[in-house]
Amino acid sequence: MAYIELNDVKKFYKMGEVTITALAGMSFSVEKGEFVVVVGPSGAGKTTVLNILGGMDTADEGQILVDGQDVTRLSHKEMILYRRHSIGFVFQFYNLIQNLTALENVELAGQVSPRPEDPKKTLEEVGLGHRLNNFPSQLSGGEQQRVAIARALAKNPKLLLCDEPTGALDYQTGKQILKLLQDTCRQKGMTVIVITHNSALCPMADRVIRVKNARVERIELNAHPMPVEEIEW
Amino acid sequence: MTKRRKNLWLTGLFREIRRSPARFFSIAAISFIAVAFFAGVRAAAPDMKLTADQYLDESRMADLSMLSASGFTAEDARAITDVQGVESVMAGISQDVMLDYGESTQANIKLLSMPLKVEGDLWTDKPAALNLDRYGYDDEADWLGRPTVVQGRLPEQRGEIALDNRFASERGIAVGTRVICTTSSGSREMVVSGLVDSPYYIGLDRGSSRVGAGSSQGFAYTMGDDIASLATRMPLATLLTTTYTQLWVKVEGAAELNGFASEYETYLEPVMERLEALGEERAGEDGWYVLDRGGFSADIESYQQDADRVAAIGVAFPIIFFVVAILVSLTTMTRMVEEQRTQMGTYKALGYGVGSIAGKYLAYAAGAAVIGGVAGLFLGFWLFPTIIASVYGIMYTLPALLTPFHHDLAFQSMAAVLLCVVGGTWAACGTAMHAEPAVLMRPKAPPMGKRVLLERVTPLWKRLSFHGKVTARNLFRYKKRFFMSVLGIAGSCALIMTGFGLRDSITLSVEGQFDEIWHMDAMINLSKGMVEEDFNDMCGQLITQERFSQWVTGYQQLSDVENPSRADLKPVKDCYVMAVGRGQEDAFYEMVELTAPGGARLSMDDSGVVITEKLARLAGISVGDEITFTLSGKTCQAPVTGIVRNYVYHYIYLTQDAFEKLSGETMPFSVVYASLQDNTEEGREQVATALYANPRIAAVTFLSDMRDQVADSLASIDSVVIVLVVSSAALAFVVLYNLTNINIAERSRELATLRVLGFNDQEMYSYIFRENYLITAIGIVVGLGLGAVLHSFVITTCEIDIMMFVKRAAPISCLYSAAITAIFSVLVNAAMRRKIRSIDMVESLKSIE
Repeated sequence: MAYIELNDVKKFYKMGEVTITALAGMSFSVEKGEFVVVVGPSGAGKTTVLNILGGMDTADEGQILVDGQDVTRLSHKEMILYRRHSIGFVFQFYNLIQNLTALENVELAGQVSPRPEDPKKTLEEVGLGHRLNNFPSQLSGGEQQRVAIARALAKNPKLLLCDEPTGALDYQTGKQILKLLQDTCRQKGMTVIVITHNSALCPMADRVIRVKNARVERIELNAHPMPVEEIEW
Repeated sequence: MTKRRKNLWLTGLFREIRRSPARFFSIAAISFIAVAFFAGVRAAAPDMKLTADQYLDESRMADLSMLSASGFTAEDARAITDVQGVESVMAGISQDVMLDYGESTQANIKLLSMPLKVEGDLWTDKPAALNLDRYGYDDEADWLGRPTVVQGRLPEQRGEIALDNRFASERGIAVGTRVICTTSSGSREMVVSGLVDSPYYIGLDRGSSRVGAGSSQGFAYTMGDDIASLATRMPLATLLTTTYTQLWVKVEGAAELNGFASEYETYLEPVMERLEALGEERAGEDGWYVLDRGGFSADIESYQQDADRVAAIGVAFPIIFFVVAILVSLTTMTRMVEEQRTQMGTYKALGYGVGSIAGKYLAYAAGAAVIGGVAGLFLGFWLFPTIIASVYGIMYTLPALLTPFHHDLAFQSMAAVLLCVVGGTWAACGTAMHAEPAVLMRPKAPPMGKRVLLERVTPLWKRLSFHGKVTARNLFRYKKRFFMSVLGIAGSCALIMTGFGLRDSITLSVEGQFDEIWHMDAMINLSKGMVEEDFNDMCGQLITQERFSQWVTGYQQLSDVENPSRADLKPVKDCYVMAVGRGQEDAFYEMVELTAPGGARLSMDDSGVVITEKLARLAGISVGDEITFTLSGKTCQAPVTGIVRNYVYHYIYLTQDAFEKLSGETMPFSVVYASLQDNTEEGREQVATALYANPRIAAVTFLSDMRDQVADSLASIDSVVIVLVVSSAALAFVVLYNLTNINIAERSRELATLRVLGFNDQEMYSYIFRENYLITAIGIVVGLGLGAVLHSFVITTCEIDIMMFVKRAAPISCLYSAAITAIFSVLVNAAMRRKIRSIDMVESLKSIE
């Protein structure tokens, strides 16, 4: 059995009389420790799938299994626990708490996790040991994203979900962030799923899931994923 | 604007309202509360006065009452009718009787005559003594102060009696009951023909009585001839001429004026002077007493004062509500403007002017204010006066309160609320209006995280939990909102505290006076002063060891008091001057505690007088200053040697030596302060009966009755307290609700992030509510302080002249105020839980950072 399994997952949005199909029947699986890239054009359903996987939204039909647990139709409380214990989320716009320093932002994660990592150590691992007591407004975009990643990692989640993590960053910084994600995946055996609309990133992944029109168009496996620093786009 | 453009604009506005109903509602709600309170409380006093005035006008209540020691003759009555300004005269006779109305049940009531035929004996061919119906009923007379029939009918023939409705209802006396009226002259059986209310008795006071325990328990109307047959105190002259005990006068043109306005009193003055002059002419040196409504009806006087007191309270309080209205509209519209930044920038870029963009927000806020305000007017004009008057209803017998629409108040309150709301909105639009479109279209950077001042206090900061640090930083991050929240909470807490404090001041004053200062049970007054030896003889007969445990004798009279060095201050009226008999000072101090405001015990000395605190304040007197007052007919001036604490009425205390030095004559004796052996109701009744048997005794006042009267008249404050507390609580709720709403909306992204991180419901609540609780706590502390100030201000404003209120509030009131405010904080948080629980993570995180 795969670590993560999606079986014919559907999601609809009703806006008055109009029904929008966000997911028309998504199916894929992910193995533990894989670096997965989900790629596709705008509106294809990538973010929706990530939101559902991340316990932020519910599927209307289908089944989702994570580490043997059926997380498809969880109650409000169960979803909270799922997010709390199993998921680490990285957003495009970082979403750090402005009022807390970098260290405190990561400490925050420690408040919710049953077995958190040491915040200071995590920040050092992402290369921000010298910026512990700065507020997000005092950090660059890349630094902020690193803090966000540290925050997600400090929770010791089962999966790390990243929604366009480099969308707000420049080319060089973006690459550094992706390298950090890739290294985390390799070194810690963390399952990482990255959403992007940039297909140039595909070579770095173990598995590429191409999404189009609310469905999975194609799944590719890379036997030899490239280190991201070698990719140019 | 073209029609199409105007329609678009209007459509946009309505859509906006539909999109954010909670916001629109917040502004409408605060406008509603502010206007309802302002207009309502301010309408109460005018409504009360209007209702009473209309009642008195409809019943053709007399403007003046005339009394004469020797009574009035028909010629007197005719002469009075001819005086310039007099429209109508009604003659009357009255008699205090004991009424037997059931199986050994008795009460003392005052019989009043149905309007009399004033013919005079020179106009009939029979001598007065043989004229059997000298006091015949004139059914066509202009009845000044006609009673309202509640049940049955007025007497139509002799042997019928119409009873005071309140008196009869309390005792279960029904129409048709056979009753017996008894005086020392005899008794008469009558049948109750009806129950009535009289405009002369709008309150509970039924006047004093020379029968029974000293005060009348009710009144009744019956035929003059029946009263005459029971008469005991008619002067000898009545054998020869018909005399009337009282004449009622209606002054031309006075009915058009509002009887409770000051113009009314001034209007009457010339007529009163003419009548007094006529009295000197016709009755010699005794003259006639001419009293206006305030003089002959203690209830009308106190009704006026009650209304004025309510008016005084209505002046300051609404201000707080309007300040909060500004706060709420400022914060709410600031939030709205922020949310719509990009839209505003777009409009600007498209070329729309500042006017039309700002116009939308101003129209939105003004619309909410108008809707809320108008609703508030209609509720306020009806509700507040009715609540306030309903408590008076216990004490006053008046027709249902009129609650007209007051155009002046409506205009004032709407103008005020619009000013506040539009002003707040304008301030909110402020910076955004002048910014470049490009700036507006870029999303606003979130406020930067900054170190909080508290962090520098390292030992304290270290000890704070993680959550504590988060809360501290959050509070200080949104400074404007923090201050507004604290102010809003403080305002409501202050109002609640003032409400309770008001009640406390009054209770403490009454207790202070009757428990701490006065230690006697009765004050006995003679009609005229007596020489010391005669007085002591009389006391010896009346005051036996059985009845009185202690007594002090002296001289007491009423006097006006002036400060000769302060021509700008009005003289203080109706002060009691009490001169204590020689050698009795120590006994006096046991009955009347003389303590300075600071607490030190004082005593009188022969060089001057001791006066009470409120009197000193009203006349601008300090220790050492001189005051002028009347002593036994002479005007005297004396230095003030001490000022003492006192809460009810004004007093000047001096020794017999001081009296004799100042007036130059021997002091007459006219008063006894006494403590009773048996201070129960029966004991008091016995004492009164025994004392009143002596014709020299004018009045016996029991302090327990006085205490009840004072307490009753001030119970009306309770209604105001309720109104205040409820309005303040509503205020607290709206403020907290609104601000928490804004808080959550503005920080939705932050909250959504926490949700994604896996914060459960309880942790989410704590995150927000911890700040709320801290704000509430700080607000309560500030509010209690503010409340103390406000309380002091209100007490001074709504104090009536004859009273001085204690300026403290009971400590437990602070507790109540804090508790009520805290409860509302908890309620708001409970209401907000749902909103927090249902934060849509996906939507909140979507918008551009």
